[in-house]
Amino acid sequence: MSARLWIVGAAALVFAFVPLTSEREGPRVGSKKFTESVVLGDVLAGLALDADVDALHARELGGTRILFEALLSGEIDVYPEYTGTIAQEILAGRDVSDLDAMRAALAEQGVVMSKPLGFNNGYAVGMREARAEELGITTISGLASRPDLAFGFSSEFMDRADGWPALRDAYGLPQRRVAGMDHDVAYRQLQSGAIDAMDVYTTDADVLAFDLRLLRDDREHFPLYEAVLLYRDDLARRAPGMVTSMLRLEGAIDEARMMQMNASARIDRVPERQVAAAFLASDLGVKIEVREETRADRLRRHTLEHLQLVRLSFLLAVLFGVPLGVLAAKRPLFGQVALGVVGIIQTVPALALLVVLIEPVAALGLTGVGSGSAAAIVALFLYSLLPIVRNTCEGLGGIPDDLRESAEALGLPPLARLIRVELPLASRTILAGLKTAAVLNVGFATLGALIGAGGYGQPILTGIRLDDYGLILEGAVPAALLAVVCQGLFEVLDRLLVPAGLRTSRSARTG
Amino acid sequence: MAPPVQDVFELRGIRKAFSDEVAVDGVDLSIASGATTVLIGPSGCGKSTLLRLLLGLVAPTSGSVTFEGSPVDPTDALAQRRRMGYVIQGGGLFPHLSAEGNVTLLARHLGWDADRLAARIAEVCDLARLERGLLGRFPLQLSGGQRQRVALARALFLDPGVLLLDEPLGALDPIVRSDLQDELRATFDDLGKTVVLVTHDMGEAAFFADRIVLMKDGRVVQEGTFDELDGAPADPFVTRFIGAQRSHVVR
Repeated sequence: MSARLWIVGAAALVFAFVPLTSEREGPRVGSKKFTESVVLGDVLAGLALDADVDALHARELGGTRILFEALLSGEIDVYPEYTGTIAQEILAGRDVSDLDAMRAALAEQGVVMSKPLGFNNGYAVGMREARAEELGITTISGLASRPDLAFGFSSEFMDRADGWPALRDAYGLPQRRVAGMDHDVAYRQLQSGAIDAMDVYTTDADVLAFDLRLLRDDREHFPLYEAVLLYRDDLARRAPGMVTSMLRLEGAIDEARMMQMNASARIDRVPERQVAAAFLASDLGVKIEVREETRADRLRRHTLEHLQLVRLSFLLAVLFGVPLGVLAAKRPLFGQVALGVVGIIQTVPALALLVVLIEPVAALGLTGVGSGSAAAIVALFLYSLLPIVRNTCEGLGGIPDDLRESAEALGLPPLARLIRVELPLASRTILAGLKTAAVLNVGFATLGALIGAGGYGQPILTGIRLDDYGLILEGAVPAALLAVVCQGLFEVLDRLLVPAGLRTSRSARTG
Repeated sequence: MAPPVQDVFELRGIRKAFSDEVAVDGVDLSIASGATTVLIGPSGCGKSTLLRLLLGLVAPTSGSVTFEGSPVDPTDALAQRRRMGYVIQGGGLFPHLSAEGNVTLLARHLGWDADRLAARIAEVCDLARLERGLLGRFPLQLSGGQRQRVALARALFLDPGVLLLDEPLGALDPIVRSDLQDELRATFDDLGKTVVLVTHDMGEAAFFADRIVLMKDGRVVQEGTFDELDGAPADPFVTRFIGAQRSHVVR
């Protein structure tokens, strides 16, 4: 039994620390979770390559907040941003009426802003052409007289200062059926008629694809969202060639060109890397070789990323959870508090927990593979605690009094009682807790992709963005399989670690 | 040389109250060295609690317990407990350990080497009349009588001066019980140890006891030999208790 425990423990440690992903040194490009940003990210990576810098493109990391935090903490070095977003969100509350003021304010934080790339990707309100025609609406003011209309806005637009609240006030819009939803889902809702209007970006390919009418911003409410590059001021020192190369984008892309690229990626399903390469070749005369990942490559990468998230968070959860459970069983008052706290953590919505953790985790100086993965590991660790702590506590609490008393009467000191008697007796319940935690962990880890931690959640997110069910399954199926494998692994551990005497059924009794 | 300790345990003014009831209500008792003392009484009379007080498994609400002249402190009774062998009702064997694992648990914790363990295993198996072939089995694979022998062997392993048994024959069927009763007395005779045994069965008490302590409602009603209790009952309860069980008394 104890020899097996050592072997299993050693195997777990090896599994936990054997490197799964090779950390790439060198500059990193970031992109937000929408096609245009990903295409621009690939364009930037291509321009870096043209300057002989092999920059990693950390794709689809999330929203503004996550990207800017990642830029400040140095997890990424450059990403495409929009002036409107910088003014309203990143520098909210500061007077940055022109680009120079904006540039100066960013410089205080060690961030350089490029000149505009040439296109405006502002907010607009879009309706289906047929629906708008039927209602005779051509301007945003036109919406004011139709309080019965339903709106579906991206969550970011719902919440941000320059989003829905400002729009509502500016135009006196009376609508009550206003829901926040994923941008890509909103398109489908609009098509099905579940909503009448949504926020769109002015370079959005789907404006063409879904035959949308963009309502005229007749009160000039929406600020300009000119695309720029934000990069760390130390990048010019670390990779001057890359900076020179990527600044060739200044003034190089107009709205029509950007919308074309977006359409190519979203509607014609051309991989972003190829869209970027085509643009670089035709518009900037830069030839780069695109090596598109095969499905097997992707699967392998996502599997490794996913395992990385799961193994570290799970190991931490075991290392903290089991002792916490022991303490909870020995000190009932502490136990109630501890179980209460880990129970409350469990009720925090996963996305909220992930996002809330980004800043404190970055402040602790923890980074990981890809931006945000340390935060994801911490979140998964916290989520995994409850079943482990609870089962350890219950397993120890469920030991019959006569056995507890026997151990005490023998004259075994408390620690020896715990190790030689109580933990082995509770081993089955504890292992069941570990199994629950591991399976939950595998599932929750798919959410890590929301903050750029990669893993099986990545193809799911990309699949939703591109409306590609194949890609969604490419994440969902392996995630489910991994959960099943985990389950099986714990069945094996149960055989190895639960003492034989506890598995002997009463029917096997002889004599 | 210090004079030999005559009384192994001294209980003075012992009272033990649990949250909702008084289990032991003022007991003064001396337990003599080398003799078999039986604590008997109807269920709930406080006899098992008294045994736990001797082991320091519970602390008295008031009063004092001394073992071989030093006070029993439940928070620091490890060394004292190792000089007492305890067989809990039902055996209290650890199901995750084999019979051998149960018997040697404490000695292994104390770091005994393999030779010393093997030698002592042989001795305690003889003392407890335990077949060596059963040592590899798990408790769930043993019969009730075999489990009781393993429990006894475990209690004897460190060669304690005192053996405390709580209803050692309680859970056994009558035939096994009768056989084991004979063996157990033979073992006690071989050992010459101080034995304190708890039972509710006057027949068993009469069979084992040098001295019987009859309890009721947390108090000692009478103590003495069976003949003293039978011949000169201190209380009508003594007569009734013996009378109700007279048919079982085999001597």
